[in-house]
Amino acid sequence: MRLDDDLATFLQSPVMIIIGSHDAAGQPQVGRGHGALVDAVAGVVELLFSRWLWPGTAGNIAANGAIAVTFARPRDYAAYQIKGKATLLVPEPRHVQAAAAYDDAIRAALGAQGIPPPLIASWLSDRDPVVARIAVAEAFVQTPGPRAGLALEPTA
Amino acid sequence: MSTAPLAGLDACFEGVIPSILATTSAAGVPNISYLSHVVQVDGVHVALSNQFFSKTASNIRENPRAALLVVDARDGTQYRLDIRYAESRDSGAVFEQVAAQLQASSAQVGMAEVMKLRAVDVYRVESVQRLPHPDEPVPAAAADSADRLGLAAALSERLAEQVELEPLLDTLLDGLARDFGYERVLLLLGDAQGRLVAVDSRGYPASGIGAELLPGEGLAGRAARGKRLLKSSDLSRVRRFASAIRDTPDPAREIPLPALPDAMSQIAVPLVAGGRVQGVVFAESRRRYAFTRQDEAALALLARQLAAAIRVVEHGDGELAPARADRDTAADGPPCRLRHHLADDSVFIENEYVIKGVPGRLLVFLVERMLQEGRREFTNRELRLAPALGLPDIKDNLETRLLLLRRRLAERQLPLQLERPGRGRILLRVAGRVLVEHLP
Repeated sequence: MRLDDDLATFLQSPVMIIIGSHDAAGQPQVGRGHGALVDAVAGVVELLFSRWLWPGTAGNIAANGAIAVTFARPRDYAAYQIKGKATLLVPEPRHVQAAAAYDDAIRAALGAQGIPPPLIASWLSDRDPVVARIAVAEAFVQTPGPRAGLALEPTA
Repeated sequence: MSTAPLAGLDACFEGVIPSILATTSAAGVPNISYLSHVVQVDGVHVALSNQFFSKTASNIRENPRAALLVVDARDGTQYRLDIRYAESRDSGAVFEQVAAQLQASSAQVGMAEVMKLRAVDVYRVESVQRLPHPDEPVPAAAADSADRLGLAAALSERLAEQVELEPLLDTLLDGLARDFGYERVLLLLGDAQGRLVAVDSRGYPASGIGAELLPGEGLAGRAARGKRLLKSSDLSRVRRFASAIRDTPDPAREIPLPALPDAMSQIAVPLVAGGRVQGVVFAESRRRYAFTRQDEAALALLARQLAAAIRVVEHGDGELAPARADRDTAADGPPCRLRHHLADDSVFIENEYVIKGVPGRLLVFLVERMLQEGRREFTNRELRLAPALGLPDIKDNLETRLLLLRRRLAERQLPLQLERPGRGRILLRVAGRVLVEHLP
């Protein structure tokens, strides 16, 4: 689905990124993302994450492609979730640059919320990076409250 | 794959760093969300509150497997828990615990209704995996390894030595401030109407003695009402979380109590004895995760001891000689004007507000007796027996009222002071003649 420009901007801003996937037995898996690049018109999100830190997530995506990703802003918990099918890619330089920029920005954003840098460091790793190229099928409001779970209409 | 027992993961369940839950529908579509509250039920079960994320709830009905990621609030270490849905509970101890915690933390930011909990889901923990750390492991900086229970035992011993209310309360507050290192401690005692009144504090710019808390107000009020220890480990998170739910939060209520405006952690422990709540011990800190499970355990024990001791003090005045009927000759200072408003028993001395309610009535009673009978010393027993006071509810809390009154008078440095020359005795000390005026 084509993505709204505001949503695309949000997904690429310093937001916490968490990844849901599952294995062949239906056992879900949690992972954390490390930056994203968005092609709003194509409805594609290229998500970086560390295969070293999240080997189960990488294995699941390689096996069945099913993925859900929630992006949440530390300042106010504004959040969106996208779902779709993903394939794993080897990062290109633009991905690596995006991840490095994200790393700086999210550490600053979390630090501004008073979260000590050593804590943040345990969730972010650039070791063995991979890209999940996600064809977005659905997007939802995930901000806590009455609108949580509301589906976003595809942009015309 | 390394594993760690759930029992070692206390610091992951403090609500400081949000937990993450992944589920999958029967059709194989994953869902991933943050969780506001994860509670450790026992060594192999956790309970999740999920007020908003209905997708999670429907997925769990289709596929009971879930993955939970929790973070040790002290050093950021991540643990991945494979869990399996066991049951939902909309009543019982675990539900009450989660509901009370959720209500307490959300009510502080005016969100009690929005955050109303319907049920908690209980999951069995099937495996625990510690995730590798990208950098060198960071020492647990915030964790205080002090032996809380050892400190509590020593403090308990000192409490057991006390036979009067005031030294009893002082011993506890001093111990918590000095030995436990609590930055701010407040002690509130209850009255017959369910209000809590601050009787003393440590660490605040103003003592707040006499400040009132309505039933159920604030973390302390909720702890008293629910007879339950309540804790909030990251108030900034509650505030942020709340602002995400409602755009225009209630304007901040002004609570006439000492408060730490930028508190990150708070704990409120009810003083329960004989099934009755006598008051609340409250502490707060600017640090996140300032109060650990060890603090909870230590405070719970001390609070019960204090509650039982207060009951003993309140129910026995000891064997006393009758109060001396000395003529007061010391009152040669300037006259002192006492105004008594009958509507709420509020008392003003030299136009300065002192106190209201039962302690106000007590003060007026003592002063009028002094004027009529020319004596300054009284006993608890005669107060209890005085029909003129007409106070059925006074029996249980006389010592507390007198303490409050004494401290207010002392704090305001008024020309009329109350002293306790011995157990069960009250001495009025006046600088000059007292002129009493009763107003509607």
